Amino acid sequence: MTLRDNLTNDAVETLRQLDPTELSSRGTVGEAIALMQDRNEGYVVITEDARPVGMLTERDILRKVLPEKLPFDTPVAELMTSSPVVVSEDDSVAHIIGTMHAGGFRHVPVVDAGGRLKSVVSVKRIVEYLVDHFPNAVFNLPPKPGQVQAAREGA
Amino acid sequence: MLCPFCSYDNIEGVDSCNRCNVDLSDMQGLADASDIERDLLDRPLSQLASVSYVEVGPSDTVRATVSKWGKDGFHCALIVSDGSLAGIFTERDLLFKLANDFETLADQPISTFMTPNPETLTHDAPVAFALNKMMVGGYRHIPIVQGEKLVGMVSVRDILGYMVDRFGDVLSAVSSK
Repeated sequence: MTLRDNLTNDAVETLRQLDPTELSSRGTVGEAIALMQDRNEGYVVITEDARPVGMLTERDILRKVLPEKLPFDTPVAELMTSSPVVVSEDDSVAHIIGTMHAGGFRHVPVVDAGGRLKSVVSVKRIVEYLVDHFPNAVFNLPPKPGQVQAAREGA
Repeated sequence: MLCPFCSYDNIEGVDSCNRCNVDLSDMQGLADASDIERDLLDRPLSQLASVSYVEVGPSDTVRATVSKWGKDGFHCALIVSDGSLAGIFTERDLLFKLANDFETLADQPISTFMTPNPETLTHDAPVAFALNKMMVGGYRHIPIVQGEKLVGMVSVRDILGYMVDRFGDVLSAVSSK
């Protein structure tokens, strides 16, 4: 199957998904930063009763917390982006790429039919998905066009 | 089958190119690729790399570097020393290396915190190569060079944006399954 067909036929479930980095809406900015650093992730999904109610990203920290010297005990609810855009488990990969591009998101929460947080898809997973559609040989080509192997391997 | 490398026209099904010996055993998969894969392999990075990026010297401070990022612009700075690329400093570096003590560390030189000698690609490399490098290294930004000279930068956002613009018939936010 080609990339063109797969983009519309493959659902979110075909992407390698992240065990979501989540924090309760009662958490603090300091807890969110510690979570990001600990998990090496640039986002935290803010949840209430397992439902995503907000997103806090590294960009929010860099834009709002550091320049304004906000104390680390500021509640995340004051800084998060409320009502985040989410995708459902059976949305297509094409839909997620379109969603990420339209909103400038690097992470999109995936919810089940009941609106509960299941996972997160990151732009990194999209890149992996795209790269999987090319033969490995493409990426192993010698760096200079016209460069010729002196002899067949093993000869 | 055309060798993607030296363009020699081999008979179908060969394992390696009869002229340049390059391994072609894995290339059969490309025979039935769609226009999207082909485009990403044909399109050189020079056509979508952004030429506007933040460039600083190694002795500039973190504070000065970050102040150049602006409100919505770039989220990555390239550190250039004596005309050549010395390092890269991204939002991720700022968050992970400085967030806990920003006020104390912000006046130190950027060279202390940058990632030295970042991976680069040449301006004529195909877009697909940038995707592969991003995947392997986990990068979001790749500086583009022409010879030794820095000529641009490509981000994962640039690539997705390019794909959405060009293949919007497939890649729109409303094309749910």
